[in-house]
Amino acid sequence: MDEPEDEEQAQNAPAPLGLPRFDLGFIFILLLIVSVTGWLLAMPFSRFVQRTTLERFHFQTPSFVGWAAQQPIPAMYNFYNHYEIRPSPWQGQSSVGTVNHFPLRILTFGDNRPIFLAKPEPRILDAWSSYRGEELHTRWTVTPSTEDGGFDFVGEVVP
Amino acid sequence: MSESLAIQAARQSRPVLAFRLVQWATLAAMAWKIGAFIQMSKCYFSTPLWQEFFPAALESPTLLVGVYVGAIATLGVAAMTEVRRRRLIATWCTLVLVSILCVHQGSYNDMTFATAWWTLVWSVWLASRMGVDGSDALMARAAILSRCIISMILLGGAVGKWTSEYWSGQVMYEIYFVDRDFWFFNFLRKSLDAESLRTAATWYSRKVIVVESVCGLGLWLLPARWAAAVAILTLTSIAVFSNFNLFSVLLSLIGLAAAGFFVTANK
Repeated sequence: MDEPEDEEQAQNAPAPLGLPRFDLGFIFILLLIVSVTGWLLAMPFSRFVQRTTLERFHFQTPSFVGWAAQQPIPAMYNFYNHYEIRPSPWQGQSSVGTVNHFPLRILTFGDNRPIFLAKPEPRILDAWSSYRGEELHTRWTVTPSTEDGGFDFVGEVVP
Repeated sequence: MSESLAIQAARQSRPVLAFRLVQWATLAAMAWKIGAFIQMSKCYFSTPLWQEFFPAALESPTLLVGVYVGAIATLGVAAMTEVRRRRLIATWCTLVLVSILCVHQGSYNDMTFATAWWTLVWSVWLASRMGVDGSDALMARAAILSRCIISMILLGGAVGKWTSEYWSGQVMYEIYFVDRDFWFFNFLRKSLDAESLRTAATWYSRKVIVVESVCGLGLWLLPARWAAAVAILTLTSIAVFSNFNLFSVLLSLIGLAAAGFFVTANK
C-alpha cells in the first residue's frame, strides 16, 4: 500500500544518535566512482586503457556488452577525432571535419544523414582518433540497403 | 508544534527537497534539446543506418523516441509524487530508460545521457534511503556522492584532453573557433585577426584543461557548500562560453551539485 510522506517519516525515525545505518548502496556507488577514476587516471600511461577507449570510440570493442559497460565512463571532448566522407567510387568532393568525441557520430547522430546520404549511393567514411601517440583509423562503407531506404554501415580497422 | 519539532520537520524534508530539485534539473537537461531531438528522430526514421555491432532493437528510432518520452515522464512522476514507493519505482524506471539511451545507436554519443545516468544512480540511492536514515546524515552522504560524481565527470573531460593537440589549442580551434556560430566565438572572430584568433584558441583550450583538471582532482575535497558553489559556477561557465546546447549535459550535474546546499551548515 502507498505510504504518504508524513506517514513514511513517522514510521522511519532517524537512526539512534543520527548515525547512518549500514548503507550498501553508498559503498557500491563510491566503489564505482573509484573504479572509473582509476581507469581515467591510468589512461595517460596505460596503452591498454588507451586502445580500449579508442576501440570504444570506433565500435571495435570485441563485444557489444563490453562496449556498453564502458558507456558510463565520461568522455566528453576526449581525443583528437576527425573524419572524411566521400562518394564511392571517388566522384566528387569529400567532406572533412573534427568532432568532439565518438567520430562516427557524424553519421549515427543528429540530422546529418540527409546531408551526407541524400542520394541512395555508396559512401566511404574514414574516421581517425588519436591520444598521446596511439591512433585508430577505421574505414566504413555506407551502402544503400535493398529493403527499406536505409544504409548498411560496415567498418574495419585500417592498419 | 514546538520549535524543536518544527526544526526536525524542516530537516526531515531536506532529502526530499534535494531529490526533487535534482529530478527537475535532470528533466530540464533531457528536454533542453527537444527540438533537435525531434529533428534527428525524423532523420533516423527517414534514413535508417544498419550496423552489425548494435542489436537491432538499439537501432530502432521507435524505441529511441519511446524511451526518451518515457524517461521524461518518469522523471516528472519522481519529481512530483509524495509517495515513497512510487518515487523509488519511477527513479528506477528512469535509470533503466536512460541506460538504454546511453547504448542506443542514435544517442550513445550524447553526454546528456551519460551525466543523467550518474545523476540517476545517485537519485535511486537517495530515494531508497529516504525514511531509512536520519536527514542530516543522509544529506551529508548525498553531498559526498554528489561532489565525487561531479569530480569524476570533470576528470573524464580533463584526462581525454591531456594531449599535445588540445594543449596547442588545435582541436578547440577546429571545433569552435573556425566557424561555430556562438556569441563568444563570433565576438572573437570579429575582434581578432587570424593569428590572434589561433592564439586565443590555445589559451581557451588550456583554460578548459586546467579548470577541468583542478576541479576533477580537487572538487571532492571541498566542504559540501563550497563544492556546490564551485561546481555550479564551473559547470555554468562551461556552457556559457562554449555552447548553450551543453546545458543539456550540464543541467543535471548543476542540480546534483546544488544538493550540497541542503547539508546542514556544520557538516
